[in-house]
Amino acid sequence: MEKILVIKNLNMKFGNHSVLKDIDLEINQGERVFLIGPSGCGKSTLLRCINHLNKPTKGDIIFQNINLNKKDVDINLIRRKMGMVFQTFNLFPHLTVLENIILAPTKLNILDNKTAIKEALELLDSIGLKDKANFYPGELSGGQKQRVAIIRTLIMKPSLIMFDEPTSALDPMMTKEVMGLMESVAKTGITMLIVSHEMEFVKELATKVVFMDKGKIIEEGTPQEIFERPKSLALKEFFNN
Amino acid sequence: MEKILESFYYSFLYDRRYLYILEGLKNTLIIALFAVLIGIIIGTIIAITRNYYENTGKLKVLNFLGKTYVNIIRGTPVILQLMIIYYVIFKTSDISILIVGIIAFGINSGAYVAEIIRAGIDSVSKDQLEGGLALGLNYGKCMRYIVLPQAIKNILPALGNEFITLVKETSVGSMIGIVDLTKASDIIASRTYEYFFPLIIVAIIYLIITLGLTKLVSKMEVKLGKNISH
Repeated sequence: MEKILVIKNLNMKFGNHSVLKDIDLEINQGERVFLIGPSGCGKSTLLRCINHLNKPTKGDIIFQNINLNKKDVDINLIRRKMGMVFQTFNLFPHLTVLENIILAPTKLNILDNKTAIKEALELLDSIGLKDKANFYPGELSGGQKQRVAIIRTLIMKPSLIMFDEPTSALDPMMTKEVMGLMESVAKTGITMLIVSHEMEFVKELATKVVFMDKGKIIEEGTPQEIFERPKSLALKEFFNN
Repeated sequence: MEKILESFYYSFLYDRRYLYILEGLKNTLIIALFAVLIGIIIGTIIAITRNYYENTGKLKVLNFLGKTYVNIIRGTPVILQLMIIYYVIFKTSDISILIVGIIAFGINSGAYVAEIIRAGIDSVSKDQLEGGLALGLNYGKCMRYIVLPQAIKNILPALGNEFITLVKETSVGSMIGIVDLTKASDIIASRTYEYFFPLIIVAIIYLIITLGLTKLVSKMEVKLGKNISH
């Protein structure tokens, strides 16, 4: 299977504080990898290092056979193919839902205005929010906001989508809504890397689960391996808490 | 009563002395307006340079220069800056004194505007910039389409206030001989030896301008607040 993302010996320090230590991880095309672990273990930082929102201190990130450390790599081009969904949605409050979705594809000359609007409305229709196209994010519920944020990423037709605790800011009803959309996204076969605390969701959707603790990858395996036969003490403790 | 009218007459109407006031008003407004425009240009460049440096670590030298400029300008009296520019920098050139005023107040204003714009940019959550970057937009496009449009509701009213401040502050321009509104009243008073009318009238003119602008700024605040509060 083709490797879409390879992380080699990744280290990240904030000042003297080591947040990520010697991370090695490989993700194949079409996999759905979940990162789990206690708060502050470096899961979110790992995602942010992958698309260089935080610059890694050391190590390599190779995305679709391109090493992001190379001098001539344009990170902006890489990010187009590497979607990111944030815990805080990060919708642009001064733009309508539709404008939020078409901003990047039109300003980057990927789609012309007409096509972008057409595609955006189709995507909105698919999640039942077409009637909200001209609403502002402030007029939407949390679940609706996050679903729009996911759509905004999808219109870029990324090869990989990263989700950074996409449901942590949502109540159970809205969490379900967002998970439902993520399940349909998964069905399209797109590669997903997800940080989540919703263990039932992990079991259901993951092809691979990676457990992190204190900035390190402790264990990785299939959902069965991780949930039914945890090896490390740290993982057993994590499940017991 | 008659004496008052006579004083008023000699202060403004005799010898068409009101023309001094009009000339002064014109110069005050010209200096304030162009100075604030120069200030906006300088301030925007500095604010964006500094924000870019904070986010990427690039443009270190430019960032340092910008910071130093802001510190020097904000740490010295404007009148001193004006005198240095007029008596030292433009000492030998025969440049119009009005232009000197515009340049001096523009450079001065730039430092304050830089801080206004920087605060405006900082008022927009970093999540917004990251949301744009994660979509593949570069820093410049993120600023233009995402951050600055949101920052403007905090920036515009503060810029209005900066203009109001400048309208009053240009009065120190009379130190180097600029005939602004304040200087105009001084000229008239030196002819009539009557200070009351020239000073009071000019004070009223300043008040009308500043209060009017203040009202405009607060209207702007309400309108911008409405637009973006969604």
